[in-house]
Amino acid sequence: MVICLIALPVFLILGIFSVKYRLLAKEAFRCFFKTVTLKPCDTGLDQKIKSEITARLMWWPPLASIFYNRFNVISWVFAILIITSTFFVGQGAYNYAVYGNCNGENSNQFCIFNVVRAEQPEKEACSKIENEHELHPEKIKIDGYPVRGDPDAKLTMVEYGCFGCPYTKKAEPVVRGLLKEFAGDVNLVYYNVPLSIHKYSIEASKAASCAREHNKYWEYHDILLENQDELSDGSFARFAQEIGLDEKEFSECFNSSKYDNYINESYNGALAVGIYGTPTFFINNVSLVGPQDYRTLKKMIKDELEK
Amino acid sequence: MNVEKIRKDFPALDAGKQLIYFDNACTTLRPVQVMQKMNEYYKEYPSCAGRSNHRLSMKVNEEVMKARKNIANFFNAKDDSEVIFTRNTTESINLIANAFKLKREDIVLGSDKEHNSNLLPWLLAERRIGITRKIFKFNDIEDFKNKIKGVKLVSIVHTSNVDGTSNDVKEMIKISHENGAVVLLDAAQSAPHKELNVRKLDADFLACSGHKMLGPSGIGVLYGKKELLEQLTPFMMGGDTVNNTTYDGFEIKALPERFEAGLQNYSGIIGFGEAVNYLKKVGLDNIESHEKELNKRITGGLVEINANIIGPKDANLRSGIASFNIGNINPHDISLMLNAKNIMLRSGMYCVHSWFNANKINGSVRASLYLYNTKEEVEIFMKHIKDIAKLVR
Ligand SMILES: Cc1ncc(COP(=O)(O)O)c(C=O)c1O
Repeated sequence: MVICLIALPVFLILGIFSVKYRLLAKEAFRCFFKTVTLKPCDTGLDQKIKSEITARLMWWPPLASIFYNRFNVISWVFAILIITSTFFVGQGAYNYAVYGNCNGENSNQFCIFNVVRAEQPEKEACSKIENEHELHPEKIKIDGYPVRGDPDAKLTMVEYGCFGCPYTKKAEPVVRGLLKEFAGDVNLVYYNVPLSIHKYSIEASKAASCAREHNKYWEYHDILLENQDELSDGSFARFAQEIGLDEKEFSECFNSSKYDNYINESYNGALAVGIYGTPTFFINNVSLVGPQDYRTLKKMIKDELEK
Repeated sequence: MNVEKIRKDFPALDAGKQLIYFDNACTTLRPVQVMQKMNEYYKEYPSCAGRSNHRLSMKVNEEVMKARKNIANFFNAKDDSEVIFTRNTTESINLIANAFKLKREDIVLGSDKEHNSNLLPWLLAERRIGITRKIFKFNDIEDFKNKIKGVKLVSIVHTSNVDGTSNDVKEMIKISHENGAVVLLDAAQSAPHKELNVRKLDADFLACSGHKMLGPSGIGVLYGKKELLEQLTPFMMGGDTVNNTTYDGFEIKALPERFEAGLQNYSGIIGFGEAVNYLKKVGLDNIESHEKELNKRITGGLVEINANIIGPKDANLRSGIASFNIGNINPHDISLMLNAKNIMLRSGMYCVHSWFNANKINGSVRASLYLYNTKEEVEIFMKHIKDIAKLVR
């Protein structure tokens, strides 16, 4: 009877792997259905489970006896445990979906979903840099790099990205979402690393620097990533126009070599930090390579803010 | 009787499997000899008997004849043609219920402990033809004598599959004949376990199943005295039951073919012949005493734990069957627990619901033994039974 309530989910899960359990799950379902419609369970499944377990407990007869004779009570206890634990799992899943943490909105306690996610991403990064996979956050130099968000924010997230890198593009919505959510508390420094594997990445860096002269760095940054697939010789001037830059001024800047050094130095600076793929994120001394899950980053930011 | 040697013939008992099989009243395990003989048909002469005249067909004819002879000899029948192949005991009894000339108000007598196979055909005949059924108390000769007057057919179980006890059929047949009644024996549980001599018993009809005596499933036998078989009206007819037909008539074949309609289970028949050979070689007397010996041990253990044994406490009266309950533990629970220990036996009412219902017993556990079971198996079984007995509050 009640045991079917326990057996059903167990056999359903085991049933994924074996037909034998699928049949048992079916039986459990029938039994469960009968029980809820207040008819006796006629499949004998409860009896099978009870006897099988009793037989396994025979090595200690008093235990077997308690189990056998108190089977109904015991199965009720388990059923209640299952129902409550199902409830808590549901609650955790809800929290995770809504707050990005299964323990609730303002919790820093361990959440299994987050940990699992945080460990996997490295494959998703653009890389052609022959660095050791070892990062040196202490060597980060970001003075003078563009800041997005409140310049006086408590926490700075550093992103090493490349305008031509699809993973940098992929990470963008998460980054922007977080900046919005933590507006005032967190800002972002974008450190551009033009990777040679992406065509136009150097041109894009140049163009963005030219836009920065007119306080339009972020607009240009955004339009570059948005149109990453369409970069071409003609696109940079067009983007400049679209965000309202003076066409002539922009072209002069873009065609000059005034940022060549800056771009080179930036690149070397990134190498010194050990960057081996973009995007790479730093939140204080914690680094993450590749686009990140919103909740993972959120949790890390929260942790750092609360330190 | 060398049990260890016998066990080697049964692949199901391979040491690695550690199987304890105590469900022999339901069906028995089969020795390799039987399986090989069955396969021989499919490998070497897989064809029709009694119809075609080619070499393979002749070979089937010959093998079927041999099997029929083996079985006729096994029961000491006067003539091979007195052995009719059916699917099982159930079909044999149904054959009689349909072919024996019964009319309205003819009385059929049975015991109160009949298998459904020997109850339902008569219940149906009661509804179909309006026969009258009478019931006597199992193995109660006085009651039997009281009920025999005017009875046309006595259809009784020889050994009960509930508790292993037997009707005193020799005496009952004698009384029946004195009163002009014909007797059909349900020998499903006796033929496998003791010497049966239809001529000594003077049985008129006898039914049994191959699968309960080391033979294949799907093959059984109806033995009948020739003169009685000839009076039956075949109720199933078709291929190989006639010599000739016209659009309006037929010329029926001699015994036994007239009762074996359609292409037969040759492999089963041949395998059954081999099984009977095997039993004969071991010796039915040896088998009977071996089972009793083991049953005595089981019974001793059951008495020790205060189990409720169904039937007499004396194991000698219960052949190889020990049917029991332990306290108020549900019998199915017991068989399931034993199953978890790799011991196979049966629980429930064994198709004899009528008797259990009448006696208000809610089923039992049944250990039923055979020639390949051992003292060691019995010991393991009893150890687990004793553990289970500790569950009783
Ligand atoms: C006494 C008795 N009669 C008849 C039968 C029916 O045998 P079958 O199912 O082989 O026809 C059995 C089988 O359990 C039996 O024990």
